Amino acid sequence: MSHYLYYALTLGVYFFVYCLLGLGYNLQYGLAGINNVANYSFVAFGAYLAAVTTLGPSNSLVQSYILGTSIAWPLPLLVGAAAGALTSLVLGFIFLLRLRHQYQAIVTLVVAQVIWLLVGNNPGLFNGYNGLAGVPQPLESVVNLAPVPYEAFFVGITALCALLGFAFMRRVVRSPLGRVLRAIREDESVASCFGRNVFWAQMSAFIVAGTMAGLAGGLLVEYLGAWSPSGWSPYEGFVVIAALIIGGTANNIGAALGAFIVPVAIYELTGFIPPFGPVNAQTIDAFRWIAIGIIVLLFLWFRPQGVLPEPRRRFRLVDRILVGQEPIPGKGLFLSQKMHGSDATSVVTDETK
Amino acid sequence: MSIFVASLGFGLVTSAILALAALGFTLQAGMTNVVNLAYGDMMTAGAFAALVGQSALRLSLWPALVFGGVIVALLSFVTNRLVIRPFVARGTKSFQMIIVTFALGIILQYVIVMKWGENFYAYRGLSLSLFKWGSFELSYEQLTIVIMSVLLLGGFHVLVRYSRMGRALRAMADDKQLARACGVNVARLTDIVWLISGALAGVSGVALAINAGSFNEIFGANFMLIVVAAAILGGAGEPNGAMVGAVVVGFAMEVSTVWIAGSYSEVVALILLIVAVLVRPQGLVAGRGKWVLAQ
Amino acid sequence: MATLEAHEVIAGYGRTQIVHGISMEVDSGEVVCIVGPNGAGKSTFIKALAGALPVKGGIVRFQEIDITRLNQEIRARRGIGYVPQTQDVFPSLTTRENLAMGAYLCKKHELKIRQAAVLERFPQLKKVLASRAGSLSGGERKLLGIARVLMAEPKVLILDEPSAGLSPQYADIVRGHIRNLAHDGHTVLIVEQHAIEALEISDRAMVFVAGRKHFEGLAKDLLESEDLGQMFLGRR
Repeated sequence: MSHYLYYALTLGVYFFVYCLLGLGYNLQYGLAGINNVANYSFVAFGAYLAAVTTLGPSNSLVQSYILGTSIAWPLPLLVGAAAGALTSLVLGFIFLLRLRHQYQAIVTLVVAQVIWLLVGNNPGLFNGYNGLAGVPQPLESVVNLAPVPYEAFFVGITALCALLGFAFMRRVVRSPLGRVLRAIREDESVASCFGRNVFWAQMSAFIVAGTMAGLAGGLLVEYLGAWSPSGWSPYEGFVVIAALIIGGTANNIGAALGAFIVPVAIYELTGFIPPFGPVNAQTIDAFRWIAIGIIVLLFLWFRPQGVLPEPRRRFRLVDRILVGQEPIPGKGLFLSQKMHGSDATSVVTDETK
Repeated sequence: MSIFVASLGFGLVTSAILALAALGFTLQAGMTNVVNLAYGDMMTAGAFAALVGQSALRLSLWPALVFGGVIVALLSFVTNRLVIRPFVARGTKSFQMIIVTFALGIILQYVIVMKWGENFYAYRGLSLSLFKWGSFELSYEQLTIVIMSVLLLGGFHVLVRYSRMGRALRAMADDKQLARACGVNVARLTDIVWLISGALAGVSGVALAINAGSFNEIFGANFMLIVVAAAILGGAGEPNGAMVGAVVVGFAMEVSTVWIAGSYSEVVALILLIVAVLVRPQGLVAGRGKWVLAQ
Repeated sequence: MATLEAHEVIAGYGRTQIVHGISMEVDSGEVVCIVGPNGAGKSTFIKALAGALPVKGGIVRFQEIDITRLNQEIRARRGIGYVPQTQDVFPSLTTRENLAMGAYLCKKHELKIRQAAVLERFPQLKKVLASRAGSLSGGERKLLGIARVLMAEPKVLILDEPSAGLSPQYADIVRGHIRNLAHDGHTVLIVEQHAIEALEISDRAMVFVAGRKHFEGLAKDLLESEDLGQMFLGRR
């Protein structure tokens, strides 16, 4: 029995970590319109930095890494978050200054690959392709719990982080920055004509997303106890993208729903398929990826806005004056549709439902 | 000095393979405005198709290469008809299009895993004899690949530059709507583009596998970003540029191994790409930057 | 006999309807001009006729045959020549290649004959035959756009604001060419902002306002009409 409970709690950890990742990705792609295909480098940096600040000084006989110290929890998590933020700031100058559309997407992929190769080929950095192992779980000796209660404790930590992220994102969406980001996503030149600094608005979204990814990376490495290049690739990033597309782009609750559907329901629960005949662990893994790929295609075709679409935000006063009546709930916004076509809905924004 | 000359030889082979692959990639990007992230996995599919050709049809090496090209051409054609064309016709945004091709690549890769697992394979009938000219040496397979690549690229250049269909292809890359107004059957030409680019992906995948000696389910995907680097460096959507870009990237990768470790040669290619995109996004061969503007 | 005939045509972009049911006829050998304020749906209407936009409602007939459901390339093959307002040439192709694209469906020897005839009509293009169309001046590009369509020997020529964005001299040259085309018996449907100059070379005229037809008659009647002139031709 405790076997299943333990597993359920494991799923809980993944769910909340992917919530955090999904929220961050939602901010940069759903809201700010940044075409980042490789969102996992930030997770990796967060994980590595959280690991080396937990592990203590490097012992080159076991594994070699830089910056080895041992600081009190939860500081390593904050270091991980900071590492994500810093990586975003640096890479933001490459991604956001001049690149748009397909070029931006490709360069994010390329930069992630360069980082991956550099980390893998430099054993002195984070122990190369072997990666870091033996990261102790947070407060293990302090709380001194049996495996299942400790697992529950860890779920509590991740849930707290995810809730903080959720609350923060809720504020960002409704803030002036959120409005500016949506305006940029819809039409960059119009937004800049209104005197909005496109670069720094996108950069701040990018940094916030990177911070959340770094935090998620810190949580992951503390949970798993190990981190190596084989654990992060564009494919891991694809899971986050798939989660957001299925859950609902530009919708925070959608991001959480996607975190439940893709990484938890599809990815983890398919592990329950029993091996039979020609089916072995490898084919189940392959089947899982094929399923995610097909579901993403089906969603992009049948419901590109995801299960929960972007909430419509509108400026009721203008509606009443120009259209002469209250907008019909659920019927969408006819003012902006009439004026600019359906995509402009969120440019005319102020009041949330 | 002899290391340098030897690296030139390898650079020649790498460039030859890269040029074939980059040409196919840039054709798709330029003519249909689709950045196809499944391209690397299509190369892998070509390598495995040739393996099937060798084992099931008892083909020798070069017919197996042709077989790989034909199979991927068909695969590419079907992919376009079933998935890409409907999405494009609906006006799916460029980033979602990229995700579509990303998903296709993952599906293709793991279908291969289901059949062949995550193991390394090699072709039968690879000779080990070398062609030598001073310290410049290549295997006969590598030499054949270079000659084949030159012939295919030359043939393609003539086709695009001087034939009626080539003119229509370039017109279509410029302005699809106007090409339609001229009576060009754009849908049929797009089919042809996917056939040709698929064949190029398949052939270059087999050639890459021959050159590397062995291949697995992910070797094409690992090579793809280098292909993208060559395509963009030459000027996205410019067939001639893809060849120039391939030569620059191929030689840079191999010659750099004279000074730095071979595991960094991919980093060299990718950093070339990043610098090129930031400094000269239109590419080495002056392109029109169609991609950048495309929504 | 009506060469091109529209009956209650409805058209627009996406879900937005712009043309709300317009009927008209263009007879063989006549020049018909559509004028009207910005946003009246002139361009949308002729795009729907040429097949660049789908016809949402109504019927389009060409030489007595219903072409409403045919796509643009088949309409082009049947003989509808359409010159868009912008993007009317292939910029990376040379002038010669652009002309060849116009006669895409012709045999090679036929192409040579037609190219000679078209160059006779547009001598300005002779010296830029080998240049990329993207490097031509705006006026040369417009001439090339018209010349390219003429290569297909269309039965009706649809021109969307041919003088827009051109220098006054080149606008005159372009109008001169259109007048010559009319003289030689071509059937022309033209949309123009420079309404007065366009009406002077037209047989008949239509005025569109807000997606509907407000006036139809002889071009000289419209030119002489007091109130219409004030409203649509900017005459005081």
